[in-house]
This record gives sequence, C-alpha cells and structure tokens, in this order.
Amino acid sequence: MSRRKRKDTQKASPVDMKTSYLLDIVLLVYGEWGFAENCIAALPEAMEGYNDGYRLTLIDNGTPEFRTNSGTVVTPDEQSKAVRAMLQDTDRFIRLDVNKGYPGGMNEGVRRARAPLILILTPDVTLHKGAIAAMVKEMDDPTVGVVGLKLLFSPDSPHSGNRPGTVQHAGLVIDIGGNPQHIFLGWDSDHPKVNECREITAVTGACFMTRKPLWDAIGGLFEGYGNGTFEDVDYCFAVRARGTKVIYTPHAVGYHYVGASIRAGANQRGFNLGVNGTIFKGRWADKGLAWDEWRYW
Amino acid sequence: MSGTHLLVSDLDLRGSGYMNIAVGCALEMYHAGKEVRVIGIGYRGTQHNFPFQIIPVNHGMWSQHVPAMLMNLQALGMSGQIPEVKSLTVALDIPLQTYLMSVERPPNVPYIGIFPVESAPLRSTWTTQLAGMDARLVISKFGVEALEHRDLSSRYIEIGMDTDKWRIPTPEERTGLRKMMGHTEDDFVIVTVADNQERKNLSAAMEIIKRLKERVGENASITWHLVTRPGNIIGWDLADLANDMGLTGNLEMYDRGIEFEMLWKLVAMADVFLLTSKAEGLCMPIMEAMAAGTIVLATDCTAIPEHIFADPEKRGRFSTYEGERGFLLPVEFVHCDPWGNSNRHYVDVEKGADVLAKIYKLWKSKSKKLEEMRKRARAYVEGRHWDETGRVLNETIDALVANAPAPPVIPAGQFQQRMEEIL
Repeated sequence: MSRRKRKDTQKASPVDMKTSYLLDIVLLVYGEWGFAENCIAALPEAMEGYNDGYRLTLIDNGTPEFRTNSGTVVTPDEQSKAVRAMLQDTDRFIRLDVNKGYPGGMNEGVRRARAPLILILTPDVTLHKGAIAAMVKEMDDPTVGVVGLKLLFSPDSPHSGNRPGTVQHAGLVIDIGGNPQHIFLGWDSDHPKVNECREITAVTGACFMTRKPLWDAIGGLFEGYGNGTFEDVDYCFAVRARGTKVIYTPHAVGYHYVGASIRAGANQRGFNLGVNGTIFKGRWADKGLAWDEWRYW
Repeated sequence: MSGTHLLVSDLDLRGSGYMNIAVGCALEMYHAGKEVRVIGIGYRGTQHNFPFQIIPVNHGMWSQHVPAMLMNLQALGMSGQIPEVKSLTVALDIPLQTYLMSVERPPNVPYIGIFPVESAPLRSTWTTQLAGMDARLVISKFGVEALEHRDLSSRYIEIGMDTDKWRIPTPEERTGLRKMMGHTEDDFVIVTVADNQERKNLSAAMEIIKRLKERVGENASITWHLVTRPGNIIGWDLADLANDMGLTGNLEMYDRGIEFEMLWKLVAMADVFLLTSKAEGLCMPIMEAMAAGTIVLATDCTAIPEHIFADPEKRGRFSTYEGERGFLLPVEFVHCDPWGNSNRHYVDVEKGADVLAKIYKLWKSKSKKLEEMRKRARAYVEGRHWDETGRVLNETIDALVANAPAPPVIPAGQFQQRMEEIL
C-alpha cells in the first residue's frame, strides 16, 4: 500500500481505520487494456492533495484470448502485460478465470478490500488533478454513503454526437416513467447548475466512492443484473434506504470515454437494459422509487 | 404571488412553432414574480439559461407523461414539498388542449389555454370543450373572431417578437451574406421556412416558382432556399418533385434543425419569403421574415392577412393582394379538411405566380415601394412587445387565482386516501 508521511497539521480521518491506508481502489477491466493504461497513468495526479494512502486492486474480469488478423493468438497475460508493469509493489492484480459481469467482477474486487473507503473505477475513466481528495473530503461527513463526480466527454470519446468537454455525468435522477436518467447531459462543464454540490438520487458506476462497511452491509452490487446496467443506481437506492446520502460533487472531475468498457465484439452477453430496468423497478417500486427529476432541472 | 405556476407547451429547443411562445410566456410569468415550472414536450434536457425550470417530456410519450406530471406536481404542492400549484397554463394546439383538460385538477387551479385557431369554422365539439377552460387566450385576431362566431368569449394575446435577434442586416452585411451563399445582387433569392407536411403545401410553392421562371425568362437567375424536413415520411419527396418540375438547379434544401445564426442568414439575405400554407394559426415565420427585412408573400387565409394588412377589414377582401406590409397569394378553392373539419385554402398557382412576378419586377427595378414596405413591416413587428403578452397573460392568471375557491382541505391522515381518489 502507498504511504505518505502524515503531516502533524492533518486532521485525523473520522473513519475507523483498519489499515494504514484510507482508500482501496478497485479497477475492473475486461479487455480494455489501452484505456486501463491511461486510467492508471492518471492516478498520481488525481491523488494530488490526498495524503492518506491507497492500494490499487486491478481485477481482470476473465478477459479472453483473441486472434489477430494474421492469426496470432494473444493470451490474456500478454494483453495485460503493459498494465501489470505499471502497478506498484503494493498494488494487486487478480485474474478471474471467467467473466462475472460488472456487478460480479466488482464484488470480487471489493471483497478483497480492507480500507474504510473504496473507489469503484472503470478503465474508461481518467481522473483529473485532485479528484480523489475532493471525493474523500465529501466522505468526511459521516452521513454520506456514496460520492459521485463530474464526468466529461473526453476529447476523443468514441461516443459520437456529444461535444468534447461537455457533461457526461452530473448525477442520475428518476423520470416520470421510473427510469434513471442523466441530468444535464451535454451541458457546459462550467454551467452553474452543473457546479452545485448536491444530494442526488444516484451516481454512475463508472466511478464512485463509498464506505467498505456500508458496502458489506448492503452486500455489494446486486448480481441479479447479470453483466450489468442498473446495479449502480440500485446500490445508491440501497445506500439511501439505510439513511445515508448519495452526493454529487463537481469538485472532482474526470473524462469518461463512454462505451469503451463495453468492448465491441467481446465474447459476452449483451447488456439487457429492458430486463434490468424491470428488475430495478420491481425491487424498488415500494421502497422509495419516485419521480424526482422535478427537484433538479 | 406565492405558489407554483405551471406551463405546458411544446418546447423542442431545436425549433418548434411553440418554442418562442412558450419561452416568451414563461419569461413574462417569471419577471412578474411567479415561480414557474415548465413541462416541455419534446424538450430533451439540453442546456438552457432560462431562469425557470423545464422538465423534459419525450414527444412520443406526452399523452401519458404530461398528465402524470401534472398529477404528481399537484400532489407535491398539496403535501407542501413544493409551493402549492396555483395555475395551469397550456400553450398547445386545440386537440392537445382538450386532452389535457380532462386531467383532474383541484378546483382552485384555473386552466388557462393559449392556442391558435388554424382555420374556421371551429368544430362544434371543440367549441364545447374549449368552453371548459377558465380563460381562452387566442394568438390571432382571426382566432378570436372564429370563437366569437361560436359564441365563445376569448381574449386576444399578441405574441411578441425578439427583434434584436431577428434584425435587419446592414447593406454591407447583406451583400456579404449573399456572396457567402454564392449569390450576387442580380440573383432573385426566395426563401421558405416551412415543415414538409400537407398544410404547408410546398408542392404549390414549387408550382409557383416554376411558373415564375416561365414568366420572367429562363435567363433569370432564381434560387429558392427551403428550410424544411426533407426526410419527413409523410411529406413530399421534394428532391423528386423539384426534378420533375425542372427546379433542381434552383433549389437548395436545409433541415429545420439548423442553428439560428444560419436560419437568420438565409432569411435576411433573401429577396422574398414565400409561404403557401393552407391555414395558419399565427405564422411566426412571416413575422421573423418581416423583422429581418425580407418581403413576404403568403396565402390569403386565416391569420395571415392581419400581418399583411394594417386593417384586413378595410382591404376589400379578394380585390387586392398588396398590403402595407407584404403581399398575399390568391386562393383558388377552399376544402373541408378532416383535421378539425376545418377549411384548407389552396393557393391559385397561376395568380400566385403573377403576384410573385410583380414582386420580381419591382425588385429588378429596385423600386422604392419595396423598401417602404420593408420599413412598415419592420415597424409592425417591432410594435409586438413581449411586455404586452406578459401583461395579458399575468392579468388573466392573477384575476383567476384571486377569485379561485379555497384549496381542498385534506383532514390529517387522509392525504394518501385523497390522492388515491384523485388518481
């Protein structure tokens, strides 16, 4: 685990520290090794202003071998070699033999976490300077269970139709049909409404920070969503059901290469939005699922 | 006035006939100190800087989602989570209004309808349904008359114009715009901004332009810039139609989603704004063209003449097609349309081409008459202030709210039961 000498002027964290470091970062990868390199390379600058130590756990979620156009087989080990070379001694690389989907894979990673705070991270996110410190600061409030950040469309995002540098994520709200929706999608990054730190309904699973004891109490991400979608919103509902808050902070920022985590041609079942949406509504219909976008627009 | 004031309208910010009306009305309500929440049909959550909230509604789901939102917002007001809903203003076409009027609302929430009357006579069923509104604000004098003929009272609400946004280019600017579009001062440039649907009668516009070419000679340089929905599956195949009429070399088409700046350029640099609609409830594009200093030629029907003539009644209907502020296209026949059983006016393409040819000759001779007409048209639209729109709307809302019955009192513990009764 990375250690920085604690300065005498630093306040003690209010959390009950079981380890000498405050934060476990769990990065789940399924074949997007190029993006993972960028994601990890951005971490030192993202740590600026944060001095309480962290450990990175990278979960290879069953990346399969692939065959190049010339017929050469590239094994999972060869695919991840460059990324593994970037890891520090204290970081961990864990390979799952089979793909467990996003919720299952992330649960595997967090199961191995020990620090009081967890940062859930996907390789298609590159955090900007000081992002970690900004999120940890929100977690100083013991009533906060989850913190999400401002994500912007990257300058070279594969998700066409959106202006680079505009808002990709500023929180999720529930529309009149009971469906989670991104709020302020495509808005300018500096718009006043985007830059309010606020309690929000849910945040994206691309990157959020939460508490390990809370995660364990909830049981992590609900694996009934199969490969994924809706598990992030579901987790936020579970957090709120326990009386803790979900917060959006614009002071932590990152680029999101939307869609990169869903690797084209990957050998995996599709993300069944329709079925998962029904599952989500069935789970929360009588436990707080309500039209709430009227609070935010 | 404390409380929430709701406004429902079509708010596709890419450009819809109602967008300007809805935004203008909401701003006037806001500036009058009202807390405004707008339910925007077709609004997709895109960025705006208005000082009021717009809640998105998927266009295809409006008939389910808007009533649900109205019920929810009323319940939120009754439970104190938002200031109590005091009024509901709906700016939409009549059929959508009559649908929304069926949504239950507390007796203390008046329903104010802002709507156009596209054509007359007003259908009997609609007359009965409109009678249920607490106030009827009609956006044309033609519409007020149509309601009067059905013994239905209403008030004319003049829709304002943003004449700063829709400005006349300087002569140098205009020359530059035309050059940018590949035109010289010798090119006769026509512009139309109209949806590709039957009511806009774009095929008649093509017929008129084809006949103009025959009248003024094949050597005349004529270009028609058409801002529309070329791919609308219920519209004309415009490219094919132009080809069949020998107009392919004369036609430039643009999708209606173009940026405002480009739209203004197309209208402002043109010599004539041509509109062959069969019926219009207000016709904002005509006013926009007038504001940009472009001569208007449009169908002699419904709400259009009141823009063209200072006093349509004194004009001597059907005897002259040249008004103080523009020109009219003669109508060949009127047909009863299935939409609302209302009249549709089909332009006389031969006589319409004669009027357009007259304008062409005036343009070619650089007639002062056209310049005077442009000035009068500009003065007309400059006289349409949003202040006046706001005055009428806010007066109406305030009077109704002041005289509204007390809100229903829900005994403690019975809120849930009362909501179930309503829902």
